[in-house]
Amino acid sequence: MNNKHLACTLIGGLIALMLWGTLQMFKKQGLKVQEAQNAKQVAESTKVACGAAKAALEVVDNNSRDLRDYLSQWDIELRDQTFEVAQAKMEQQISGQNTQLTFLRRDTADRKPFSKDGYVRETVNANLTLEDDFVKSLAWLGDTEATMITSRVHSCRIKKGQAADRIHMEITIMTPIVDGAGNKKS
Amino acid sequence: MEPCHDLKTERPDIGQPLPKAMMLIPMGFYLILVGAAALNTLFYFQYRSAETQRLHFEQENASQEQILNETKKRRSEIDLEKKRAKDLVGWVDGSDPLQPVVMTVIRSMDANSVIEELSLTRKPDDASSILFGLKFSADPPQETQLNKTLEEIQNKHSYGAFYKRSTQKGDQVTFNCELVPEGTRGVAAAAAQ
Repeated sequence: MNNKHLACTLIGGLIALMLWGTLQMFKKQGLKVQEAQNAKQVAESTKVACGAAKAALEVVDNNSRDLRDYLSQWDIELRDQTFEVAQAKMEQQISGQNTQLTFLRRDTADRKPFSKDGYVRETVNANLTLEDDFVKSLAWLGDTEATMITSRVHSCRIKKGQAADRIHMEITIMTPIVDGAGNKKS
Repeated sequence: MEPCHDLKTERPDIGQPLPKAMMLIPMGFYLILVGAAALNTLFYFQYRSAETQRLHFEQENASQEQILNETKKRRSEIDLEKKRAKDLVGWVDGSDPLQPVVMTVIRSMDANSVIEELSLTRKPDDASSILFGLKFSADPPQETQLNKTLEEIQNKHSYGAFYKRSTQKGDQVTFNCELVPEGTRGVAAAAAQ
């Protein structure tokens, strides 16, 4: 191999190197274009998912607005109703100025679990037994149900009392303690 | 003295000359040099452009994902609120006053009928329904009194009587049933809308 052969080989090598470099650049560019296309597809699918989620949210938001407004109206009062507040309300209802009934039993501190993951977590149960005038007793029951709007009379058992105009009444009144009661709403 | 400036004498080629075709090699080299430079420049710009696009789409995807996550978060907040509201509706719906029902039962009694015991207890799993118990004595046939009482409860408070059971001992009747509200009403009706 003389010098000319050597020069040709060298130039041939350089040509091959340039072709290889160009090919590598072409491959790299192709990969990048593919990456850009993939990113575009992902972005477009996320956009579609986002649009669908927004539309669904709007439907749910509109459909449940009345129901949620109803909750927010009550929530203000119910959030302040802790065990102590509920018990105090019940005590006030029993010992109020207009109430002069004879209670044989007045347990207002019976705390019971209600629903583990529901809105009403616990109830404060007032277990009352009274024996008094028929009209007065039933008027008190009606007044209690009208006054304690968040409470419910769970059970009511009425029997004849000792005297003809008296009744014996056993009632259980449940007052709800809601999830987050005692915490100010943020 | 003669100048000695031509020391190199003519010599014959030692090696064989290259074939004529080999002249294409330098030409090819220059052509490929120019072509490779042009193509590499083109590919480079395309690469840069694709990279910019990729970054743009990734950024767009990130912002869309953020919006999507916020939407999902808001949705779960609304769902939770909705569930709480339904629980509250359930509570309020199961808190219909019992005193008016008691009064209706008492007023439905005929002059010769006497209530021995009256009990109303809400069902634990469905507070809008009431377990009703009535022990009374009345002139025969006692069914007349019972039917009158149940009819008045239905007319005034829209409770239907189900699962009726009664036992009779002399003129004393022990009656039990389940009072179920007819249709959706009150808050439940409003919530269903």
